[in-house]
Amino acid sequence: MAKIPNIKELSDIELISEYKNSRDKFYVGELYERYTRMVFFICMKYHRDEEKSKDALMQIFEKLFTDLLEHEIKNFKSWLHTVTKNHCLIQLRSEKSEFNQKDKYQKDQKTFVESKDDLYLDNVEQNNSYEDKIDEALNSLNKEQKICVELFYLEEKCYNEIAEITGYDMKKVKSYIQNGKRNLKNYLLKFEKNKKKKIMINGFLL
Amino acid sequence: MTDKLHKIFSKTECPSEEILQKYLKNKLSMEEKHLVEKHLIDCEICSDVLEGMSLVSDSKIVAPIITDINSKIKSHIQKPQTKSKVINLNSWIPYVAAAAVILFIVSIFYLRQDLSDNKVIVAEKAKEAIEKETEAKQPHNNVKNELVETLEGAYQKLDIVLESELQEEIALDIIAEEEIENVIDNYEIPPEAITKSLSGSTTVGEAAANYSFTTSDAVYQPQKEATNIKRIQAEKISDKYKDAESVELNEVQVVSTQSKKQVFGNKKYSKKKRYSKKKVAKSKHRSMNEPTFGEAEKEAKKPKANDEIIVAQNEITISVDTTQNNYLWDNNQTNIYKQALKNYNSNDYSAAIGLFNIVLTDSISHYNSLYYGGISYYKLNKNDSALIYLNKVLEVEKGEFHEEAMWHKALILKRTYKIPETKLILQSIINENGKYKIQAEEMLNKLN
Repeated sequence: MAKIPNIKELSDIELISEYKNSRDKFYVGELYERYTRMVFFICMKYHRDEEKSKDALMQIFEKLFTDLLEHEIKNFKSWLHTVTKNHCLIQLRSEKSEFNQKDKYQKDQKTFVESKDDLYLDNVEQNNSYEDKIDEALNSLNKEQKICVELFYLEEKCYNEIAEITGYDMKKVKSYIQNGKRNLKNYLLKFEKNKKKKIMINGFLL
Repeated sequence: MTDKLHKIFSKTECPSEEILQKYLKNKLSMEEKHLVEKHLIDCEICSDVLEGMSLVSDSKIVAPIITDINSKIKSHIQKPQTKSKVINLNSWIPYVAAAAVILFIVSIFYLRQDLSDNKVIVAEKAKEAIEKETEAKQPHNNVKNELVETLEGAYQKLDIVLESELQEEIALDIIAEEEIENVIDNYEIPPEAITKSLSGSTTVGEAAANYSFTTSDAVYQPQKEATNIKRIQAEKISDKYKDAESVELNEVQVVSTQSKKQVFGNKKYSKKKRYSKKKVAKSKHRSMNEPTFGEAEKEAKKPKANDEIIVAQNEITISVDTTQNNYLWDNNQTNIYKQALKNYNSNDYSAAIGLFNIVLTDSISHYNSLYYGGISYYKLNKNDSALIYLNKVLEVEKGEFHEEAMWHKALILKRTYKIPETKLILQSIINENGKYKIQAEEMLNKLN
């Protein structure tokens, strides 16, 4: 006889699927409970207020009942992060006219610069051609970026240590590392593009 | 070179909330801090969470807030309604039909075997019991009389059903099987006899026939009549499988070597035999190029270990039986493995994993596939899967890739912030004094 799985054992995607089939809110509750802490902290980042964050937490939960039915979700955690962020931004925007909150938010944003781009290089290790180019790519970075990237990724130092070694401000260290990594990725992708172009041209000439 | 690329672009897993809290409170070692920071550079979710965490006035207020929210959530929802689940009746029909047929046959068999023999005794006992109770409890006389009548009526009906439903063919089969069981129960067949008979055959049908002849010639001398029944039975099997010309013997051997003790020591021999036949039938699709019986025999003598691997990323759940490892390989599997290695060597790890998993589906403990599969997952930053594979590799004592597997396990543990575990495994690497000793020492020093 087929074993009925415990709801706790179901993956996020399975819970969503169960909800879509049965429309039973219980599944959404179970799903959301797994991430309430994460959502609360993200709301805190944007609202900077515990009560507002609590309200947002419930509002987002209520939105899920319809949103889950409307979207094809492959990674619930990432999707929920985006939903939370958008919800908070919309709220902040609506508050802007009354309290001019957005300006405050934008000001605050400058102090917290973290990556918003995908800085991973997909299948980087599957591509032999990158291997020869990584040194070249590193040399293409400006001095500050190169030092910080090498200390951070190759020497495995943390921000504090790099700030001590280089004398740069810690926020700048972060920024150099992020921008340096982005430039490395762009350099390697550009090289890959050119290589494909060359192959196409050679193929065409032959 | 690859190392530099890997160090810069490798993905890391999201740290736990506890680690993020420790990071905020500056309670992590430099190495752990670096790992968290490396992840934060790439993970927007974690950096948002960390920032939110830093803005909470007191971390102790979070738990009550979350509890409050969760109770509100619970009040919004109800427990799942089991009836609301949509059941596709079409998909159930064959199973229900099969179950009904099996139930019917079993019940007839059971009733014929037991109830028909005992029904008179049971009826008499029931009558006696009811009569006694009748004497003791006069007011219920009428009801009990009805019960007695009902019981007798039921037995009469049962007789009618049995006679009409039991076909002659079924009855004959049962008698034949019983006789065979008696013969088997009384005489133990030496495994060599089966081995000998199977090794000379080329098809399952032939094997079945040989099996009968060998055993009857060598062991069943005094029971000529019984062996004749066995011979007829074997010929039936032979006929049944005569179309399975390409079936190889090693599968038969697997069944016989693995379960011969149970088979020949078990009174339910006929059932086991049917199971074996099913296994043989299942193996029809296997290629002709599988290793010979002798090799299979050697492999079968290797130590057995049943295990289970759950490959998280690919959602594959496979039971492991190392006795069936490797020797079931055919050209096709060898080609798949070679192609997997090619993909691995050309750093196409996703493709390599796909092929290694195909190999592992048939030969679940194939050592090289487990190792290279594990490394491929490691390269793709699929740490959980990599660990599962490498742990399987490490289960093999003094395996060829033992040291590599240990080292990569340490790298994965470190990558997933499991620092105490990393330290332990690094210490083991150092103690083993192998080729990764120096690197392990360096890493351990950093972690300390």
